[in-house]
Amino acid sequence: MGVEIFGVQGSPPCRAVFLVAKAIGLDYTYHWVDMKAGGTRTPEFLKMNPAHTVPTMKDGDLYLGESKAIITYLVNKYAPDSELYPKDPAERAKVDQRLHFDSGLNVNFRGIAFPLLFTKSLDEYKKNKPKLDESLDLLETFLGLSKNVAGEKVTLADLAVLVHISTLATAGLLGNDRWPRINAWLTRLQSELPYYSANVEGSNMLGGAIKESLAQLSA
Amino acid sequence: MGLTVFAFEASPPCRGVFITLKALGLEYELKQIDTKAGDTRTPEYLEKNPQHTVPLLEDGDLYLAESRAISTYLVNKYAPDSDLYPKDPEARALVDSRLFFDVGLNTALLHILKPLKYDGDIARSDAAIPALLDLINIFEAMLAKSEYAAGDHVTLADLAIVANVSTAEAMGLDLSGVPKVRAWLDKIKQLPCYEANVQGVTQLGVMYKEGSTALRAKAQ
Repeated sequence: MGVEIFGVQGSPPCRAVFLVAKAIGLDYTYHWVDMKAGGTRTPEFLKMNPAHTVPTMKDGDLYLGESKAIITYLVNKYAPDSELYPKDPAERAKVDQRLHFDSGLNVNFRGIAFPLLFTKSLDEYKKNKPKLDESLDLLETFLGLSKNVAGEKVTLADLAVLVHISTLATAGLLGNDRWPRINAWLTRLQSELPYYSANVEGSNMLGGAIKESLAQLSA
Repeated sequence: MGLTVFAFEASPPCRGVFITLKALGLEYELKQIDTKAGDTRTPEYLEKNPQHTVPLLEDGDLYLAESRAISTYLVNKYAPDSDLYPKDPEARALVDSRLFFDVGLNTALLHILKPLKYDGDIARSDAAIPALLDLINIFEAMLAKSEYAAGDHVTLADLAIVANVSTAEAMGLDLSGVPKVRAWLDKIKQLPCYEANVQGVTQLGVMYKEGSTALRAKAQ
């Protein structure tokens, strides 16, 4: 059967998996999960992943939740010599460090996305926005220390972060005044990465929805 | 020069690193950090770690933040054949998956502890407890599939998760509904490396119990 990915296009962590699979030329079967209808809470899904999250991956007998565990697994298993995830312990650790930073970015991203898209709370959005901005400030700092997120080369760290940043840019939440390096890095990767197309549909969709919701709630 | 860890003992991610260092038999120098006093915001510290967090590992020229990246680095570098972080891609992926799950556990814990520590806001602190217990319930479901967090033997996943779960226990949170988690916790506590967790978790447990009790009494 091969690798199967359960997820949705909009979700940034799902798109990180799509990007990496395309980057290493790995074929997979995509299963869209109807999250609104409780698709992650069925007994079948919970058996695969008790944490009821997307993305979830199946590869033979292996079931994995957590996008960053999935993307590191895909490289370790199917493209072990890829520069996306270096083998040298110190270089790998620098990528891992940024993958964990991305977990914080994801939490803060959800902190503004959920109120805008689901609970329709402008107050909650405003309360959480500074935390997201802080994550972005840190990323801006990182990009002052090296060309890409975890060093001079593009790695899994760039791809994990990219899916959040592209969405924020479309949503109009990535001001160039405050975050010029992030904007420049985003533009460069969008044109440089031959596999970037795997991110586009979901990023435009989610970013557009966030932008629209913010406009409606602010009116 | 050897390894240096910038940390404070009560912090669960710091304890995750202490436990791992002890499990690997690695010596290190501990530099005490007081976050409330601003130790992580000095120019010197920010140069080493722009994320202004603990723990931070110094190994020669390498400065590494993020406790779980530190733990996997320590095995990859100093004990690459260790069972704690297997090389087989499938087995390693399961450990990694549980390590990222543990990030969620720690985040949920912080949502209980930070309002208490920095704002004295007991209402917000108490309101955050169900979310942590939800995640512990998920861990219970994970333990239905394997004896340890990520398979049939102890791995870095157990050493990281125990720092958070032992904290929930020390805080006096209700773990009556998770028998597998309690049994797993008892097993991990028997490991020699667990000793590195004890002082910090006791400290944090006492701090939480005293702080929360006092604030709830005041609120009445």
